[in-house]
Amino acid sequence: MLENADRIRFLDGAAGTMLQKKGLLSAKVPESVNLTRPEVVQEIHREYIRAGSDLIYAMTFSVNRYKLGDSGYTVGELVAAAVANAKAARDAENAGVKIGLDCGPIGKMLEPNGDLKIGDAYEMYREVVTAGERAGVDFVIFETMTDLLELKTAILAAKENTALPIFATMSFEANGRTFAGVPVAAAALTLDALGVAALGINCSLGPDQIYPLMEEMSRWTEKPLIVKSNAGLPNLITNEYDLSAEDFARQSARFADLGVRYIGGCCGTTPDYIRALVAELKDREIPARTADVPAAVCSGERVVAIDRVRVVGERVNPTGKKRFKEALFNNDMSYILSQALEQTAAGADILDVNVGVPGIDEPQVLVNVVKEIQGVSDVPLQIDSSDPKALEAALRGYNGHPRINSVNGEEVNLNAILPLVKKYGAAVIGLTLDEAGLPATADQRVAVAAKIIERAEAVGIRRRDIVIDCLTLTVSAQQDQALETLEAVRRVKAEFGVKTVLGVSNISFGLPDREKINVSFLTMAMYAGLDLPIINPNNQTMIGAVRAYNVLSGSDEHSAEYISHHSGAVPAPKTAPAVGTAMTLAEAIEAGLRTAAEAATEKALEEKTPDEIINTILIPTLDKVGVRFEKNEIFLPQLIQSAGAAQISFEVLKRKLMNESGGAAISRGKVILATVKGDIHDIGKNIVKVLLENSGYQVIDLGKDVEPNLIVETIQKESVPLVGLSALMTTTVKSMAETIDVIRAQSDCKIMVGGAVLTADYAKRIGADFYGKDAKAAMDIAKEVIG
Amino acid sequence: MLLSVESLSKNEVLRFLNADAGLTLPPSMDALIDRCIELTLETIHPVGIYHPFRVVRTQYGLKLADTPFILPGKSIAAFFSEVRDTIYAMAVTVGPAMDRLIRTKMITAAEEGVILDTCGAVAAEAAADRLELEIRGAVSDQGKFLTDRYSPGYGDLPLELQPQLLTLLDTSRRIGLMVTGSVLMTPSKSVTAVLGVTDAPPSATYNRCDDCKLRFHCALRKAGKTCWKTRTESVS
Repeated sequence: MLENADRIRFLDGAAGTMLQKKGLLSAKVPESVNLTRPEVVQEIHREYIRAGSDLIYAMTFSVNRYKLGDSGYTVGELVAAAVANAKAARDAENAGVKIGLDCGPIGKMLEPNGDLKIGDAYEMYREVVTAGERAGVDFVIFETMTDLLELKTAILAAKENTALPIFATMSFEANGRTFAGVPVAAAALTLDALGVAALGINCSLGPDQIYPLMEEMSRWTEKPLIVKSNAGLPNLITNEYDLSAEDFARQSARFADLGVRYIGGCCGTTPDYIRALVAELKDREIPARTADVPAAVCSGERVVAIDRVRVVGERVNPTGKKRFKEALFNNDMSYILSQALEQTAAGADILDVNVGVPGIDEPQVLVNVVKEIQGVSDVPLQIDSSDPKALEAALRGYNGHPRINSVNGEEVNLNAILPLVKKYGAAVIGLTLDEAGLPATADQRVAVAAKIIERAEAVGIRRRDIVIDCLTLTVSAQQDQALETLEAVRRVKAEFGVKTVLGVSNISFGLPDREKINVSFLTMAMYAGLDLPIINPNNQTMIGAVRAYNVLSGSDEHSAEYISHHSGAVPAPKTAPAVGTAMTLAEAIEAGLRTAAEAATEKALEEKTPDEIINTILIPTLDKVGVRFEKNEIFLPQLIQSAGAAQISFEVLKRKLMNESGGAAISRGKVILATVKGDIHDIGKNIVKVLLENSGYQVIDLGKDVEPNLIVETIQKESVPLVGLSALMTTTVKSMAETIDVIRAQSDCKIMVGGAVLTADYAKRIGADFYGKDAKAAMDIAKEVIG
Repeated sequence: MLLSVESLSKNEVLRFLNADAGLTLPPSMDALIDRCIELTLETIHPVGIYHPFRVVRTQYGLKLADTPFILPGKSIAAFFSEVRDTIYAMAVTVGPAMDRLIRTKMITAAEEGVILDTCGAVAAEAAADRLELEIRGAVSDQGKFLTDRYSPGYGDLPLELQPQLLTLLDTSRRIGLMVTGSVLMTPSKSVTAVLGVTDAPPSATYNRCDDCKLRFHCALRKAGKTCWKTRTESVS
């Protein structure tokens, strides 16, 4: 209906600008004008239709439950009135225009930057789009979006609850990113894969500034493109825009050269602007648009094109790792995140994320881990699970265009996984095994690859989003298989033109000095056509081999990437060089030197037991550092540095105890920390957490915006003697008082509180046992309560 | 509009961190603070928006003409006593990338996280200074003068005005600044304020500490310091 146009389709111009001109923009809910002055709204639509608009947007931009608040208006009545006005205008002009339901952002930021939960955002969009479909719109347009995950959530709400064609446009700054940091390419890749009918750019800038961004977008999607530019840039004092209708039309006409199909205007444009635009472009045919979109994955902030060998980090995975399993069961997110961040710092381009451990709620944990990693890193993820439920849950909350690891050639598996890949706009790894088991020859692998590719394409997954894994087997057990795998990689690539992936280190299992085998196999595999080695990026030899290969194969142009990493101009080390071997543990902790503390702990273990080290060195030294902080001899970052050095020491001792006693953890006792409900500023809580953890307490960090009942449940489940609550603002201290009441009613756990606006008096008044004026005070309180 | 913040005052960062003037930092810590400042400048994307409004004095407070917005309370009335009929509302943010950098560093190197948190706050103030300069220019072109900035949460001006103030300036769309249910701004390193236009240089200077709920407990204040810049410091 909307896609078979062979000429440019004109959209309308601004609604707000027109309402403002008529003095109707001061209402608390601007869209209430649909009910209070329907004749004015209809006249605006009619002016646009007469000016030549083929598609008009109903005036519903900010109609959602959050923005309506306690205004008394409902989403349903405003949407119905707005669509009725658009239809009345269409009928009065006897025109065949199409009517769009216009949806802007909700107006609140999603977690973790804000407090909007994805589920709530989904519900709000569901309410609007279903109201729109009931009212009889022809399509839905999500516009002026800046957060890609919010937009994805809106698209899912529309896809799952309506049959409306979906248009989606985002607003970019001149630097090519939205306010939330989304680059044009990430928007195009993600929206295209989610199956929208058309996508593009609106608002923020004038046509000339948007042009280069649209040029970029056109390289990343084959879908029809949309543009609605502002009438230039606004004067902040008068709110007027600086382009005339003629200039706007002339600048906008260039979009036709890019093959943009839908063109209209945003802020500052009026029917005159659309009329000028139509005059400029009405006889222009759209050139057939082609785009050679590269294979790529992305997060909301970063696109990784598979245009050279790209490293997939394998370390977010519990297989064979006691410490990681423990972290999963204890919800110790800091440890898991540090594993992710360590790999990206070491050079991983993509991270594989696997949390599969028997006994864990995999869907829940996978969603959490994906969300948390995306909160601290912009690296695209490869979501790794054999459980379709876990995959689907993680895909829903993923920001960007991820890859799924994996589907295989078994009928049941193909039917379970491929529809998810398609629906959620992911890429996918196809494992070359099926009902017949592990293939023994290259031929068999190629045959399974062919089946997977055919089936994936049949559900609409593009070939560039399919990556084949020809399976690395252990060379010590099946020596003939290494060359079969490599031959399969070569053929799969040559015959199908898909990208390839291999888990590399499995090759050397059971052999001594595994690195040598791994590096040689990796190099052979890259030469055979491997694009995505899954490796431990912390291994410098492996990552060096990848970078060297990219130079030798010509994909790292002018060796730029290689030189930047290997020219000796490495960034300064985080702490002073390890003069440390000669340092005592106490000195290393006082100076806050992590490397030195690690070495000194190993040395101390030669003479003392872990318990002795904790009681005679670690705790007294931390106390001493604390006293110096109180006397203002050192300041907060130094106190934290010392605690960080102590943490390294604790980790060394923990490893030793785990190896000896099979897992007994070191803990002085448990403390719950939480930022109270309604508060999302958690830096103070996190500082306390670092200090307590590094002093040997087991901290159960419930995060921010925490429900009081969750705290009570955790106290009871884990038998916790002390809970620390933080609140930053006057507005959230109230919530702290309520939280204390709930805890008091159901447990006799001690409560300490802290936060910028709290005082000792106030802490007492709201019923806390202790007031922690700073992080050092929190350590003293823990010592008093727990020991 | 895009705001240019090209440097941050290291003294300001140290003051926010409550580092005693007498404190001698080890060279490695000194270098770390320099690196954090550099990293902050690479990370922030400071943007701001302002708009003038005509005001009328009503029994409920200062009402912004043609809007439902009212500035209630004694503090703002006193602060704007020399204002004839126009005020400016402004908002700046350094963007969400700074929040993420702080989160990330709290995991990999918490001492850097703490320093960056402070750098972010200093950067938001610097962005606000930059935008204020812009407004001062516009006002002085008309031969008028401008008071200092006054923000929700100062004196008896309720923090709960924040959502309305952001709606008034359409900050969600114009600069990507929003607010949570507990009226915390997101991105967190952001500043909103109102400033009044006067016919003569404003005589009332405003000491934010006088209005602050924490004035009897504030460690900075005890040390003879402030968490905000006085007019003379802003100018220098």
